Amino acid sequence: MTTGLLGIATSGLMAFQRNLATTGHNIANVNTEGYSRQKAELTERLPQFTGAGFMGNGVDVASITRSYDDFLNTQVRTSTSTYAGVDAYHRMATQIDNIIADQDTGLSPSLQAFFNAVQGVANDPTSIAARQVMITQGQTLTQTFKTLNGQMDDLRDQMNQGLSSSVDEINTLAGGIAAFNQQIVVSLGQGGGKQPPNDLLDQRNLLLEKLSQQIDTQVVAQDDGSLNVFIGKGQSLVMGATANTLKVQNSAYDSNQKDIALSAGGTGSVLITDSLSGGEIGGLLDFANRVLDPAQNALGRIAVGLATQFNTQHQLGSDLTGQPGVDFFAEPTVSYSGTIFPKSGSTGTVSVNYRDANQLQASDYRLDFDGTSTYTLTRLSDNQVVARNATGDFSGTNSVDGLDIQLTGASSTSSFLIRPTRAAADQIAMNLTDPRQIAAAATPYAGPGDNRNALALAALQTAPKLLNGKASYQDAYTAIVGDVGSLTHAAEINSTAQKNLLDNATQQRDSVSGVNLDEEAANLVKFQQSYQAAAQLITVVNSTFDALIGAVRS
Amino acid sequence: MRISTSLAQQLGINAMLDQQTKLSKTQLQLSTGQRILTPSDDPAGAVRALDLTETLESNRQYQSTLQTGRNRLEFEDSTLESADNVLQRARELAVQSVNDTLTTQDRQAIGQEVLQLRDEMLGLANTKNANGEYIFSGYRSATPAYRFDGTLIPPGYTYQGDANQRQLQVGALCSIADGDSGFAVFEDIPSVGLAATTTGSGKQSVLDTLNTLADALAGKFTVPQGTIRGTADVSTGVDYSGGPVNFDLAVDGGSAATVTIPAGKYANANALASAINTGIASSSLNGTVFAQAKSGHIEFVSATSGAASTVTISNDAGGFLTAAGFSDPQTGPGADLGADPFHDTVTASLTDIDTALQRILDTRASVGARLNALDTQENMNAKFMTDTQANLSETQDLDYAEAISRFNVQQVALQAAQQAYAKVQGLSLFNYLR
Repeated sequence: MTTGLLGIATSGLMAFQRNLATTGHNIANVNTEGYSRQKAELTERLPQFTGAGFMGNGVDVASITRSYDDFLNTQVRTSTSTYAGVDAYHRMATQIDNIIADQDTGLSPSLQAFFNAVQGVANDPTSIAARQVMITQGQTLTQTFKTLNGQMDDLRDQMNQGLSSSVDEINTLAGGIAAFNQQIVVSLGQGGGKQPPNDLLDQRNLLLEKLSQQIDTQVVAQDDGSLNVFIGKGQSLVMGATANTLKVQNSAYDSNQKDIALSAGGTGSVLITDSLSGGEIGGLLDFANRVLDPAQNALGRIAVGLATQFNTQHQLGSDLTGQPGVDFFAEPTVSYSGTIFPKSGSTGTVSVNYRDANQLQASDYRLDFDGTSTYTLTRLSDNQVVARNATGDFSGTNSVDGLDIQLTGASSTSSFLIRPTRAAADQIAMNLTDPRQIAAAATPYAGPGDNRNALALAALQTAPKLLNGKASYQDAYTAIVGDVGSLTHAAEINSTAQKNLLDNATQQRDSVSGVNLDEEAANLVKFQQSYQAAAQLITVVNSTFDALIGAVRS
Repeated sequence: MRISTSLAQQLGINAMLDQQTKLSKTQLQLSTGQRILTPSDDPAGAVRALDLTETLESNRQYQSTLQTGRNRLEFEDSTLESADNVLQRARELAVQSVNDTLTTQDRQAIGQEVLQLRDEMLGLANTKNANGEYIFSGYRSATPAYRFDGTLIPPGYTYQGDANQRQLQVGALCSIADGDSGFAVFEDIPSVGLAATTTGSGKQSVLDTLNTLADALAGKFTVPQGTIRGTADVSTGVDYSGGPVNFDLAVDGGSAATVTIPAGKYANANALASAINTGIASSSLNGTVFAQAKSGHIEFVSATSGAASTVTISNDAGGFLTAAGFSDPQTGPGADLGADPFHDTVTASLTDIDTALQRILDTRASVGARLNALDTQENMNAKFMTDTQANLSETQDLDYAEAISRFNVQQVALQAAQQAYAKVQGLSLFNYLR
């Protein structure tokens, strides 16, 4: 009987020691990222049958479990990925938002100053000083275009670098998850599939959470304890102990545009850029598609409009010496150096000219030839086929959205990316250097005091000559400011909302898995008391035994 | 519900960070005085602010243009006032000179003064503004309005400007002429003098009027030749590079001969006249008629003077007559001086001077009206700018009272968050387990 009580006491001591250790583990990991609270699960030992019935035999530690809810964790991952996406988007959008409406560096003040200078020439057509001011302001204006465009290019570089570092991070994380998968399968085997390797599971879960910060993921649990991770539209990133790698590569068209490819073992790589969403990567790609590219195209459109329309009017006039006006601005062009990109393997030559800046869209275009007879021109902003020719000839002038587009000499399947206005803000420059060449007078030349063409040039400031006659240059620019401002504003609201959702999900998850120190303190007291009670049992056993020995001795 | 200790801590810190962000934004608003720091703060407001700023800047430019216009019109007005004085004096002298008690010497002395007045008038017509522009030359502001041409028959003043007025943009929908052409003020004056009647134009410049008066006072009279004058201004030249053109001329009732202008481009009226003279010299009319350019118009003048002389132009082939403004046919007779050329000339001059005075008066009235219009426009612009400025300020300026109270509220909120954090962090069961 006594040995039974000693056994019970010992089992209690052992169990509470384990409980205390677990509580200590919890306290020690209170600040460990990804840690789930653990608990020693106690169970009664099998009773012993005696004539008097079943006698209790003490306590056993059945298992150390972690408080973990799969649903809540999935929710945290989903929220993390969404939040990281809108946050990255918002972060980038804020930068462009800061750039475009600056009182000193935005386009508005330069445009205004330039047209004021044109008015100055209209007021004093014979004054060389006024003409010089107009040329200087023209230089400032073109420089402002270049600077704004350069800042947008910088943002694109920044975005591309972000993509690269995200992809690196994803590869590291995917490798880590695969390694944990392997370890977890082995560890589960050690416990006969019954004892969960809590800390390994926590760490793998943390990697998953970090992964979802970079990209939206789908996670499928396997029977052996490993997890398979899919990204995009079901492309597998981690399969058991194997991880595939992502890489950033230049797009087939434009080296400034990056594509993300997934290489699965030896089977080559697949482009998955278009199917990626969520996370840092999704946010960055979204920013490029929805904010940066349209804004830069729209800025370029103003540059094209200003350069071509100002030049047209300028050529209608006569300069101070009676010569017909020459180009005031150097006009942007659409060319193979920077705005027309043939896909590798394409044949033939594309030529694109601006016909009417008024009709230009702030969009890119793709021209495809099927190799035999059909040419298709697609506007990429809305994926609309804007021109199609099935008779094997695209050499005529195909006038689309204010552009004249031709393709000659294509003999095989070919594809061209055309970005009519992307580089225009960088290309616009001053052509005139001699103030006397400013065509302030009308044609035929009536004399140096004639300011009629200068008045006509000044009138361009408010003439609605862009966006199909709906906007002046300034209007077109304020439209960019408005668009970017609205998108940034929406991103800000979105980001705050998603942050709240994430906080909420995290709080929910942590109410299950998190460590509360007060709770642990209470547990500490509880288990300490239990331990002390079990120890008291030993004393009792001891004194009982002493009493028995004493009785025998006497 | 279990509160995770580390999450609770993190949330407490986040709350403080949030409050700090808000506080720092309000601080930035307060230090810049701007409600909209970036377009995303209020996209619609940012766009409106840009539009209003543009409107405001454009109006500033209009106001500055308007000042330029006012200066020029005031300068023109003072020049015209001097011209008015000159003509008044000339009129007095003309009236004085017809007094029959005056001797030839007296008249010559008066003639000397009229010559002075003529030169003074020339100076006024050739007035330059501060930019060095001749204000009465129209668009040809680099060229003096008048030049004396001794090669003309009879010698006289030729107008070198054009009839254009330069417009200045002084409001979004308002432009105003910053001057008047010498053509309207001095050149295109109806005249009853012999010269004007014989050329068929009926017009004579005020300088030629003074010149004729001075000549008459000096006893010099020019018997008019047969003359015809084209009504068109060909001073910007004609282009006959497509082929030669020709027309017929007849002098003093003689038979007509064809004059050919060779193919080519003629840059101005003088070049055209000299080409015509070459054509005349190689025809049977050689020495009987001359072409000349006066004030940008082509004139044909016969070599003989008096009522018997005529010049007839006809049979246009190639468009010269139309281009130069002749009828087909058109005949110009010469004239005789009459019995009392002195009185006739002075009387005609008096009428012409009165007409010229009236023209200057009309022009000054027009200048005054334009100055008034500028004042009105300036007030309108100023009013519009004040409204726009108010609108802009409402759109983008910070409401300080609101911002300061917001700042205080946010400050209190931050302090509260900090205090709450410190208090909550102090709460731990471990504190009681000693």
